[in-house]
Amino acid sequence: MSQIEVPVGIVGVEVHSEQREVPDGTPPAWRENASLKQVGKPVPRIDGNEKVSGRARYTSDVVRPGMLHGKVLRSPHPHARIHRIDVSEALKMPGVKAALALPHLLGIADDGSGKTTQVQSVRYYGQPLAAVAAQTVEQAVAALSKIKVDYDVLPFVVDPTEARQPAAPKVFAQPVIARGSAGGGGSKDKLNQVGNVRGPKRSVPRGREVEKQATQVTQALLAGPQGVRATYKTQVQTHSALETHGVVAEWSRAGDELTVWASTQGIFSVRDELAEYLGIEQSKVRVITDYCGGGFGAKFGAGNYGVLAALLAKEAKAPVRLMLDRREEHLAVGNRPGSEQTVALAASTDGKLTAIEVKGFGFGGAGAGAGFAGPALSMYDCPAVYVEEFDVFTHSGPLAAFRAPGHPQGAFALEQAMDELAERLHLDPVALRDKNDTHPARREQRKRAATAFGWQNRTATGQGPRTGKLGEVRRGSGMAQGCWYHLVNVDSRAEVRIHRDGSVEVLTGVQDIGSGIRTPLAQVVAEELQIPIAKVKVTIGDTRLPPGPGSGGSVTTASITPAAREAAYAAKQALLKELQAVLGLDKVPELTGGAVVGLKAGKPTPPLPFDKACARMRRTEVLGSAVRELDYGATANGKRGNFLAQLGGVQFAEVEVSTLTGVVRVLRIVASHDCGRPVNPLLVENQIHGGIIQGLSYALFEERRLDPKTGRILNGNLEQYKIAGALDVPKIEVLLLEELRGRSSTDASGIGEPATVPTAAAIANAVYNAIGVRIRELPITPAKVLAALASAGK
Amino acid sequence: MSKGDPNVSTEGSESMSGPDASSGLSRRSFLLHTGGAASAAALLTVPVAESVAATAPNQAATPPAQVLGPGAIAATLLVNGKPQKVMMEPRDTLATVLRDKLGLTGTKIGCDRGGCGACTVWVAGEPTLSCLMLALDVAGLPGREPQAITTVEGLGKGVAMHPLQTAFVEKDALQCGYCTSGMLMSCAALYERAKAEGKLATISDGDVRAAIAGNLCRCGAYPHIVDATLSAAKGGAK
Ligand code: FES
Ligand code: FES
Repeated sequence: MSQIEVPVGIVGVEVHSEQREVPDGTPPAWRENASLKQVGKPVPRIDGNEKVSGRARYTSDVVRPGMLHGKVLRSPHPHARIHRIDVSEALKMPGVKAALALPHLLGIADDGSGKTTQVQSVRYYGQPLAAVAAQTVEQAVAALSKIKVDYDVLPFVVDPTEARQPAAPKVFAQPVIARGSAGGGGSKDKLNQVGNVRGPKRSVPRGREVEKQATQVTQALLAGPQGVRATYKTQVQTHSALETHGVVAEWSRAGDELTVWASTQGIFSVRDELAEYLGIEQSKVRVITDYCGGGFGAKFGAGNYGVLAALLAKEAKAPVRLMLDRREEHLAVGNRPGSEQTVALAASTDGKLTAIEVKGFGFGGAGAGAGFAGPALSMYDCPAVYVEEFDVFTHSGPLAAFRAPGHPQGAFALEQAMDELAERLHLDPVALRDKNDTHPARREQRKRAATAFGWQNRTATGQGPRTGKLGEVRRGSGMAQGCWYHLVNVDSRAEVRIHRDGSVEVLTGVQDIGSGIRTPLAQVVAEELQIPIAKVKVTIGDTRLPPGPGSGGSVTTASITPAAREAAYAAKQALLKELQAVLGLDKVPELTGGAVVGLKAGKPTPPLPFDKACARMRRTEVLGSAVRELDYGATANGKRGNFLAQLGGVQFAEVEVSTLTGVVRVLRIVASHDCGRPVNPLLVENQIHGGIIQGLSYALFEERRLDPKTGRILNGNLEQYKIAGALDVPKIEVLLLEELRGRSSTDASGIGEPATVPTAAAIANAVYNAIGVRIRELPITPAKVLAALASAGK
Repeated sequence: MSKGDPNVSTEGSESMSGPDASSGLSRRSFLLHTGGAASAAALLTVPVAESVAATAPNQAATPPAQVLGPGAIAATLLVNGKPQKVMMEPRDTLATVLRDKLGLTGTKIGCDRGGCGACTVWVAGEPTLSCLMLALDVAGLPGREPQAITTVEGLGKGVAMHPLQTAFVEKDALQCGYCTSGMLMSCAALYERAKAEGKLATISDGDVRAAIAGNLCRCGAYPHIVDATLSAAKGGAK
């Protein structure tokens, strides 16, 4: 190990130097972005031309010779026992080459029944059961109707309140466990389970004792002197990526090796899951994702459709493409679970929090781990914090990780409760946060965003400007904040090859889900080698490459850019050593100003430009390879401070509410965020826009609706499942912090998730400020606004 | 189509790829179930439609009918300036024919029912949802010229990109890119129309948003899409 100096602090506020212990051979730390040539610049994405020309190949575009089309048979019943699945008639249908039942189900809470040869029970409408591969999609669809399934149809429950009743039909007879995916989710084992209610999962901030905190919270809530308590509800949101889930599966001629093109956020997690399910070696499964049309957390793992495609392809001895349709997408590949949370806060009269308690239920359908604890546990400096979460199972599609799992729900409740507390204390909501949140990035963000927003002009609740013909349109402003974490996946490796003609390649098995990781990879390598970005060719999206992180948890940039930079650094050292030998230099030369400079017989050699230097190599290439190490000092000197590991994010919203129609329009949002060192502010801004727009959509429009009488989905499309369109999107101003923390050789963190956490809460607080009635349930639809106004007599 | 229509199977819906809550019918299965003659009658214009309509029951006998489908028939699509013979079934949508038969996969299918705009192409210069358009309706048949289809692959001229494509890259008007082709076709139609009218300089933020009101971007790249279109319009107006 060796010591290096790293800059630490928020650029423009204060930056100082700190020592960090790093592995030998680590490149020196970069200074702030202003001192760099490629990193920190708004470089247009290097694969942009592919995407705007229609050339980018997505899984749904992959065509293989002799390719068949797969379709999935899904249960029309939300709850049933299955005796027999008979595909023999389907096999006789025109064009059909294979038909089979799904051996066992993935993506659902595991009730310990183990592996089966045919799915035994149905626990949600739309659950996959079997599949057919035929020459055309239409033939496959036609053949599905010939599959005979013997069902015992059983009573079901899809309403989470009913599901809590002791007599409600049970989703699981046995206690379940739920593994998380690379994108989050999952739940603790061995929780109590009574009927459809599982829990409580009890949690407190890291390093504190559960029992003690629980008692302290109870006492503080009793003692007051100030407090608020209210219940907040959030709906089920589906990921609705524009490219549906799907794969193309193809076996080698010998039938022992499988290649899968997958629309995924994690090529390695797809590979590993397929290998395990099919009982073949990981080395025999290759997963390719050139481009992926969005995932947002729902695209990890092989999926039941992936397994079915692989099995069909094997049986048919032909490649099979199996893409879900839009309706299936809403049914069976995950969602952000709903919630019902009761938040209680206590504070001193001057506004110091003395207790935060959140108790409630998560509604993840047939999946477990539908929690919301994150913001309550991490955001505020409060001596007593206690969260109790229960899963409530219903007969509906299981949850999946979804952009900052649990956080938008948690923030919606906690940040409205803070707003309510501020009002009770006659404090400004920003001032209340300043008193209770010492996170340095968020403190700065509140300051910058409040100024840019013009927060000081905010009017008292219900006193905002009135417009509209009848004065029926009220305007209001609100703010909220969120947290996420600096997460990394150290199981990440990158390779950099410098070729003799001076061109450079970066190879790593990450995938682009839209955040555009190819470009930051090219930037960090170009920076290290002092070459133009156009000289760097980036190859990703193939499990034959060195392992990259799955793109979830906002880990991609934080995990793989340091490995890429270090690989470039290692390749550079190899090149310089080679030049020393070839040119007979006194010692290893240096790369400076884009040229190699050394000493020969004590005299400086003339600068040799990078490509000319490469031309002197005796071999075709030099190679550098690097694995993502733990964060600098993370283990050695125990500097894993809470603040260093947490990301912030503060958003201010202005809305207009019509008291006649109940329609809420968001007029503008000012958002301030941090992501360590922003490697590419243009791409980061785009991510922040995306997070905010998804948050707005969650706040006002989206809700998966199930029919309580039939258990079926009522809006499994994109017309009635409304997501925000261009006309719904306000003016968004992004204020991005450059926060250096000395945590890795690029010091980058992620941004995808934190950007979506505070939005719904900020909008809800703004709606309250506009109309003086609080809406504690998402989405904030016109009907809810009108009902709230009516019940308040306004 | 009434409940009692013997051609319409509602049980079939249970086993369709996505079990269907209401009618059990997708647009395509409707076309399938009602049969080639009826769909052709509903969907084709002269001269074929007249002769097909004449075959309907209770109509006076007329010259022998020319029935298209339900099997595949040869027709000509004029895509990106190139006429191409394609075998298509009457039920095939333009989106699937472009993607599956012509390999023009730049056009995406996000919902296959008019809800997302990912499949937007131009038909005779007008942005059109190709998932709601039957290929035969725009194809050339004996006695009828094909309509001009433009897809994202044909948006630029040769290797040169359309100014909007360039602006989309410069302003980072995309994330995953799956909505991008459709967005480009909608924005470029706005651009071309304004250009033809000499009004490029007056394109407003609201104009762009209205032009893409039917295009969903789940990644939320709208602000950059608006920026890009405005900047291309400004550049083009110079
Ligand atoms: S695919 Fe045509 S509108 Fe969605
Ligand atoms: S860029 Fe992903 S849907 Fe628009």
